[in-house]
Amino acid sequence: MSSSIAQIRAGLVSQLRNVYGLNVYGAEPGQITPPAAVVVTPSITYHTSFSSEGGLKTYEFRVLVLVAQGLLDEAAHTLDTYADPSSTLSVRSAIEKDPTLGGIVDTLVVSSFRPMNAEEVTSLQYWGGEFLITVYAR
Amino acid sequence: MPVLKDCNIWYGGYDLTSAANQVDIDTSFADVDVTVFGNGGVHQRIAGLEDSKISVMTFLDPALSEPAITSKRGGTTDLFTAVAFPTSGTVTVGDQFYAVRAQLDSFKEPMKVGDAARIEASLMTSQVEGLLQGQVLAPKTTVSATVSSAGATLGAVSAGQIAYLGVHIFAVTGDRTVTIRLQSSPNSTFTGGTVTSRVVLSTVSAAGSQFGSSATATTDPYWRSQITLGGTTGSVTYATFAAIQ
Repeated sequence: MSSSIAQIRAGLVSQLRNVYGLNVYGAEPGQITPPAAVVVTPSITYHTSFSSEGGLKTYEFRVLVLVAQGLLDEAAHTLDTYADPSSTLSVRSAIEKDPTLGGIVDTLVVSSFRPMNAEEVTSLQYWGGEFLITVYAR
Repeated sequence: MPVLKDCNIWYGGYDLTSAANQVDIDTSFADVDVTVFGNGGVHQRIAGLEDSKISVMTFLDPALSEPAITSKRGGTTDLFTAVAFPTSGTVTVGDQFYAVRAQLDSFKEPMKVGDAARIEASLMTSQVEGLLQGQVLAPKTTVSATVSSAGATLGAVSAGQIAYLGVHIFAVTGDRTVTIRLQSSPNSTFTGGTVTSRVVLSTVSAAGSQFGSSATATTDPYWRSQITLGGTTGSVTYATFAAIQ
């Protein structure tokens, strides 16, 4: 099992497409149609295990979920729904449903969610939140 | 000072390299006090019995590190090998290894929510040769025909010394059987009818480890391993190494 970033990103995109109504982007797009999920290029910890070629690496993927262009009541409720692990639209549940992404990674865990701060909302011009996904892959 | 990145870890026919991220080889000698009267009031000491302990940390892979470790429950002795600094990251003939036939002393599986699952093993040397330090003869490779490794210069075996051969067989497919020999020669090309088999291991047909030794003194400085395959289909993935001490 040796996975590329592109393969892992595609695996996450595939899982996110199971969230009804969510527009999923595999890379940072110029424009989006909310509600949207954007899989951002991960930070990587190399050499998690021995073997430079086939060893374990730790990827920290960020998935931005953007729901509206302003903080409206409806937008806040929509974001709640995506963040709620018991919701039928739960982003965490959709990603963790197959923790090997079809056998291309060793395992993954959606470790956290946080709403965007005011600076990020201003910068992106969208209200939303960020999921952090830790992926272990060789 | 090299940075450890590609330490190859082999244990009982399992290649734990891609699952392991820490190995400790701790060798110590008992402190034996031989102080006598009239020595000026200072302790005198000699080194006593040698003991080696190995600890290895792996991420829990249900098909690799977990069976490699848990299959040794109940005091099973098996061969543990570490090639700490492979040449340019790839194990090569002549690379230095540390090896020990060790008994599983303990293992633990720390479990913390959100963490990657791990399994850690602690081993203790259990055979008379103790910790071996020598050279790789055949890096991990897959063969489907009889083949000899390249030669390594291990040097002569003096009276009182022993030549050791260690083998990890990682996989056997088809109907293959495997017989591995440790051979020496006075010339580096192993030609001219001067090749002598010093150790012949028993024929096997499954993955695992093997170990053998020869106490016969020789001036031959060059050593290699030869793998002889039986059967007609399939292949064998293996690695060999030798030490003289």
